[in-house]
Amino acid sequence: MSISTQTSGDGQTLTIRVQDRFDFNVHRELRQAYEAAGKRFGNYVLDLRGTTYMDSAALGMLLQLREHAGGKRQAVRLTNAQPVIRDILAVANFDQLFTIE
Amino acid sequence: MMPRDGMPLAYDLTMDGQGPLIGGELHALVVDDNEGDVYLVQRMLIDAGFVVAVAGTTEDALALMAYSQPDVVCCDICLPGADGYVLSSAIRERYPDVHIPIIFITGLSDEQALLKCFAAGGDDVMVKPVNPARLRAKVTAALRTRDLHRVLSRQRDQLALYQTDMQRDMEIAKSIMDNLGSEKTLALPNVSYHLQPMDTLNGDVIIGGRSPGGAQCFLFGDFTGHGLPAAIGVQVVHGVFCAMVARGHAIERIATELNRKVRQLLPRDRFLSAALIEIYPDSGTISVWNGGMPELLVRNAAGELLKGFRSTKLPLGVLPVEEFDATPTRRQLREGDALFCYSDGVIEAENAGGTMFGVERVKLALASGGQQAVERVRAALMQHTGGTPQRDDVSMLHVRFEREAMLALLDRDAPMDMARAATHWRCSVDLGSDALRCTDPIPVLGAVMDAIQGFGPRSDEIYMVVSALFARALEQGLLGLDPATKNEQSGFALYYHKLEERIAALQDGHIAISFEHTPDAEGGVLQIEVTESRSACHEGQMLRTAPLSNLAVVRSLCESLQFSADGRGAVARYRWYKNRVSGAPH
Repeated sequence: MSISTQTSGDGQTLTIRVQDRFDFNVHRELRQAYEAAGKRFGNYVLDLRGTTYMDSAALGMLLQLREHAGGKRQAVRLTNAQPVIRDILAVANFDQLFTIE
Repeated sequence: MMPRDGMPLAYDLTMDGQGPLIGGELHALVVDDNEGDVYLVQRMLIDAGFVVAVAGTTEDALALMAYSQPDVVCCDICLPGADGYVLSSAIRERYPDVHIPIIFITGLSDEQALLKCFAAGGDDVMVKPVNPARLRAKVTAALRTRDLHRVLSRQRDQLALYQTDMQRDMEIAKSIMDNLGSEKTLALPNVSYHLQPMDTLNGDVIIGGRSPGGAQCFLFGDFTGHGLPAAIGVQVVHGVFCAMVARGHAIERIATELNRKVRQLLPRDRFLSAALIEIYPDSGTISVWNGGMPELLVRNAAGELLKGFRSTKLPLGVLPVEEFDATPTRRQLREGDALFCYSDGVIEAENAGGTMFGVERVKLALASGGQQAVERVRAALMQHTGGTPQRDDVSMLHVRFEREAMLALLDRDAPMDMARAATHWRCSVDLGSDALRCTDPIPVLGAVMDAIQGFGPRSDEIYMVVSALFARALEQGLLGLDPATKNEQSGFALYYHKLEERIAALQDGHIAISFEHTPDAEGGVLQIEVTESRSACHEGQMLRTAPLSNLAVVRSLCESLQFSADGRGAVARYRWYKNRVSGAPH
């Protein structure tokens, strides 16, 4: 399983981690992870500390997650991205759509 | 045929979804030359619901099987002539695509003889005397194996067919894409490129085009994913880009329309990272809109790296219409400057050790300057990756700013004849300040003139005349900009910045554009009148009569160019001749 999730204490935030390769193979798993709870989470955090690779399909998945979360910049936070992942997000200018920490 | 001893055969005929076999019967072949043994086994099989055939030799057994194959074979090892091992091997050899269960029933009991049964292709072996319940159980198990084999074979065959169909569809899609003629649009003397898709269909796209105003335009892009969805996206984008460039739409409008189209067409998780490039050879202005592509590298004639064009926007198809930012970055190119674009498939290509090619290696390969940029980067890339399989589409585009070569392209492929006879017509449009803020009337008027008259190859010249007069009326007249500032250091960027600011702030004023066409014996005359008017004076600066470089072009193409006393109106008469492409008087 490359996806793991964690719910915050107050039940408001869902934190998702993607291990190693964040590519199209992960698509189904990721979708299931956040869709299972419907729209009950107010915030989503994608913890990228274990993510070593991200392709354009992954960027697409981020867009889908953002739409699920309501489409606002504060709704999805991307955290702990390694330098190579940060670069990919920077070239795509995804900081305009996501809060990147 | 129901089993006689009351115990149904523990076997589900419909296990493989095929339903019962022909007549619902199972057929067995017993091969044994001992009548007593035959009778016993035959009896047991009939009780279990089989229709039983009997053969006394290997030869007879194979002859029977050539006619129809049984569902199970029970054979002895010791047979006259060829023994049971030979029969079993022969069955496996002759019927490799179906699994016919073979159960040896033998009087031999030594380990070697029994093991040899399996080596010869048998599924099981029983030692005489045969226990009926055990025989039934083994036959059942053997049939299960047979059906598993059948299901897998069918699935494999379906998959193979499906794959063949898919591959054929892909090839059709590929030939449709090839017919788009992208390669022709890039066959320019100052351009070189390389496309290396990972698979049959390319997710990367490079398109070229020339605007009626003489600009060279390019789209260099990368769809998310590969295969058919990307290919369909390319078709749509190709159509929109080529049509808009040919109409003379500015890069901002092209970006806006492409974003709208991609967003509408593709699902939310798919988009087009792209760089849109527009180069005007006469002024050397380059405008670039980069959403998601790696930094476009710019070098001068000596090969030194100048400031590049980084991705500053979100890829096409991501943002809704109201949030989309179409503003390009504008700079000035000098003779010999060159632009190098590459997709991320280039920099992410790995060697055997997992090291990526990276942008520094691209820069290194480009460093020696000169014209063979694409070849050098390709060579370096091949050397780096060695034989490792390609994991993404690879594309490169190199555009050199060679002013004379680019200008010379203008009339290259213009056909001579007019589509329609010359006729009398008039047409005019009057745009208020609110319309001026959001409309570019020139491409639209071009389309109207095409529809009414169709000027064929002369459309470009007419376009240039109308654009120049309109720019004068809008930029100098209504907005009060000084065209001379464009010639200063980084003047273009500043000029356009002011232009955008002032257009956005425009509150009053009109521009009226009218056309009147009169045919004559040699061709015709198109009178173009552009007048601007506003209620208030702007900055008190009357710059309308200041010479503009494009006015020189207008004067060279038109029979006459006159201005009204207050300078707000301009009237140009463009004369065209039936036997000539250009209107420029000799």
